[in-house]
Amino acid sequence: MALQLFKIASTTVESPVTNIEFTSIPSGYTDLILHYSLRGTGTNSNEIRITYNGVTSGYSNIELYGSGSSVGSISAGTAYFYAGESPAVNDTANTFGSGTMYIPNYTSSNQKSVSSEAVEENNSSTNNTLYLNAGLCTNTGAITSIKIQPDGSFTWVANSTATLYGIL
Amino acid sequence: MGIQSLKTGSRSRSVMSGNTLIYPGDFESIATVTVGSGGTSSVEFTSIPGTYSHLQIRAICKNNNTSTGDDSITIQFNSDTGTTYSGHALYGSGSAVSAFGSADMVNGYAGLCNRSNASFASMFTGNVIDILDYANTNKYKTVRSLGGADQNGSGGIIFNSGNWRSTSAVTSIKLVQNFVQYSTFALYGIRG
Repeated sequence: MALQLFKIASTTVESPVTNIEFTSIPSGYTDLILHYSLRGTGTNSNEIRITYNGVTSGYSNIELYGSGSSVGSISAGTAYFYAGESPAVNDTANTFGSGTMYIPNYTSSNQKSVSSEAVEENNSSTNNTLYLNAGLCTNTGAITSIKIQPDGSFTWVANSTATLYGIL
Repeated sequence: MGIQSLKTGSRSRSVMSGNTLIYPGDFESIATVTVGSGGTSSVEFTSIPGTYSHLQIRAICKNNNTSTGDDSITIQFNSDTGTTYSGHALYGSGSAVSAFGSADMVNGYAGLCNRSNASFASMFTGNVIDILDYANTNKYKTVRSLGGADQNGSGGIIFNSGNWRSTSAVTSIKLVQNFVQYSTFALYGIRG
């Protein structure tokens, strides 16, 4: 059968929230895809931090990024999957980022690997960043919930959206 | 008759009445364009319905420039040719990586197009272009794309972003390059 995509759940933020969470994710798919269009209340940008099943340890990340004319690659152990950054207060008004995380084999009893691409758009030749990320979490539980939150005590603004899909 | 699994949430058509079992899914073809002989200077999708949450374009293309190398594909929405776009890129050539961006442009960037140098025969590039929340009238539209132009020893890979500073729903998308025959562009709607 051809690869097919099914919406599991979606959220549109109506007033600022500290996180977006999808719970009770069904186990009947092969992989998950998460689309997110976010804007935060930070100053210059907001990190997009993704955790699953309430797990807050055992994550590692590798990133390739381009920011203005600068490029680089970093790696870090963290308490979350790092899924790029979103525009924030100092970025062009009404502008939201765009990102997709691919979560293969999410019900397996293996450690979980993800990949993501995200852009923090801004009408500027220098003040914007593109992100390609890979992540691994040592937790082996089947993924049943996913939480998307900004860094610090910031929030996602109204009209931020996230949609979770299952792939068969 | 449509049915939905309580366990998985997946939707299908009932076979009780003898229907063939199908899974309609939430990723649907809206339109496909294949460039004919003689080529074209642009490909445009018009009358895009506002009934989906997101759009995705999958493009396989090549242009008529006979030099070596590759070129950016540019993108415009709703026939807007004003300086309402920004565009940014992360580019790898096989030996080096670079980034660039521009503000207040008359178009955004959306992938790469192989040239038609004699040594690139039958080599087309692949691009996937995502436009989330394309019909949301409360936000400007951000486009994100990933494209690769491999030329068997040369070429490049590009990750693009762009922004169209308009809250209008996207109803048409124009991709600009001098596309040659057999370049193919498929527009999909993703329900959400």
